[in-house]
Amino acid sequence: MLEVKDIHVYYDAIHALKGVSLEVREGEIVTLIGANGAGKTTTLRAIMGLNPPREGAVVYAGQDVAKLDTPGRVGAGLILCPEGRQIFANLTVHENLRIGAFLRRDVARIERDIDEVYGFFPRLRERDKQLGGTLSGGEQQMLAMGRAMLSSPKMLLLDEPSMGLAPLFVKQIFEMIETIRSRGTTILLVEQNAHAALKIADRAYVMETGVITLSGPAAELAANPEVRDAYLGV
Amino acid sequence: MEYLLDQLLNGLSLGCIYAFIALGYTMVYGIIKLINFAHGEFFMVGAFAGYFVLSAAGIEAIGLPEPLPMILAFGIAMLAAALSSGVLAVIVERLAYRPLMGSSRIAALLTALGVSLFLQNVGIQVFSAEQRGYPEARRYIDLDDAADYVGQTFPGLAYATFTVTSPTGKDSEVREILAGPDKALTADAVAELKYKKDADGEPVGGFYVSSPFSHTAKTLIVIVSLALSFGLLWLLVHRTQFGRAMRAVSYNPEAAKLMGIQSTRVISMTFFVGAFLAGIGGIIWGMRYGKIEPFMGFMPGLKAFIAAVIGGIGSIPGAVFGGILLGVLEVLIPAYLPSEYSGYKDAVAFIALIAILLYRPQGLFGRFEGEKV
Repeated sequence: MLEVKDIHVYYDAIHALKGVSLEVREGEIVTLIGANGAGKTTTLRAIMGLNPPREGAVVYAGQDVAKLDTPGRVGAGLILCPEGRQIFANLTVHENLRIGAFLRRDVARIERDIDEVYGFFPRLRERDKQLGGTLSGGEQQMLAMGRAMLSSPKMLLLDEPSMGLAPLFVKQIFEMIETIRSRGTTILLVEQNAHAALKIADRAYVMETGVITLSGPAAELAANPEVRDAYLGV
Repeated sequence: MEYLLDQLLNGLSLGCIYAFIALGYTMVYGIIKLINFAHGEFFMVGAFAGYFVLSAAGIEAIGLPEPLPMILAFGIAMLAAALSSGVLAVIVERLAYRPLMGSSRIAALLTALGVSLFLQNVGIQVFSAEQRGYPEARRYIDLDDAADYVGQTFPGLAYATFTVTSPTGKDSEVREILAGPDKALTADAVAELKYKKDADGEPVGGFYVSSPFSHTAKTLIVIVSLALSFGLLWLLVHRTQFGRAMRAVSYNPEAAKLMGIQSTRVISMTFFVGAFLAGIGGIIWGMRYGKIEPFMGFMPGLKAFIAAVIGGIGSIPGAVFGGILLGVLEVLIPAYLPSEYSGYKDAVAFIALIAILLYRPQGLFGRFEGEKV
């Protein structure tokens, strides 16, 4: 479904990604874990075309996406739910969801899908007409996930969805991720909550300072002493 | 009391024009944080486009009852003015501003000043620097059809313009009123016209019927058009997918891309809508003050910018409120000062600007942000 082939990304003179390769097969949840500054977010941004790689290729649904700009990739069903939620604070909750469906042609189904998101997250329904900026962090994360769902993703990239959330919210968010997968969306999950991420993922990659250092089935990595030491805090 | 009311109406109609221009300033600032100083020139081009349409249109009475052909002529001219401004703005954005996306704000600001001067000078080349009298929305009636109108009165005026040669051999243009609301058109008046010549020595061939609307009625029309435009703009911004996209791009362009929004298209469209409104302002200005020239955009543009700052730049209701407030102040304050101060009319806007920057820099409707231009 998604293949990242040996990409190199630079921020001016800084070599941020030094030949990252990874693969996500259709229907999988794959997680990418690693410390702050390892390059996880940069990898997702490179996949979306926000920081295009100087070398290497991103292949999505069998095609090199280098020619597509970011909105073009979104149109092809490649959706990023970005770090820090990036909710439109000046739009209402409902409008935030509507804008997630910006490129969709099946207008008649959008309201139905919004209703479904409200079914998952009843707190959002209560705040339907409130501005996005007035929501709490947890509510904003729900809204960001809901907005990403409204984009009808085939391949969903999630960047730190549980960051800064109370444990109750974290649980809801991870349940949501499994629900999204069960509906046929493939997921690449970047998380610092490695424990929870490895629990729901099929496979995992570990990243350190711009390179992938470990990969394998999630259960195997969860048992790996190095991973347990560095990321699971046991 | 009547004097106050008159001045208030004058102020309102001036304020409406400022509001029409200020809307574009505020929309463009809202989306790309650029003070588009060339916006006054979009207004100027709109006024000229309206001028050419109104000059050309001796809209014939296609069997419509009296004020309708006039309204039609005015409507077409307004549309032409608005579209010309809008298209110019899209071209300017594409050629001058888009290449600077991502560079410093000061570079874009200086470019905007440059575009403004450039368009003024193109205006001189294309239109000449001379002031032109703005045509009224009027209908031309050919002498062959004049017989049908004999014995009628007109809600406006029926008049002819022709050239007379004085005994000294000097030609001068004369405007003769043939009929009006209280005076029916006579067969004699029509018969006499047959012998009149225009400046080129050709027979005049017909006469004009002017707008039936009084000064007050025109002011009300201006206010209603502004209210209508504001209402439509509000719906566009708050009730359409484009409006949501506009607000999304203005808040966070990168997140907007992740929604699949092509921000360049949204920005281009924002320029179009803003300049479209300035074009409407341009034709209203021409009809109201009767004179246009290529530098006409400078002062109203500056005033409208001040109006947008007073309202809170980036705020659409703020631009409307700021425009109207500034127009009213600018007319009422000099009206009640001794006449030797009337030359300080322009100072009102700048004093208002200084006051707002001192006491409420975010503007009346604005939210406070740390840094602004």
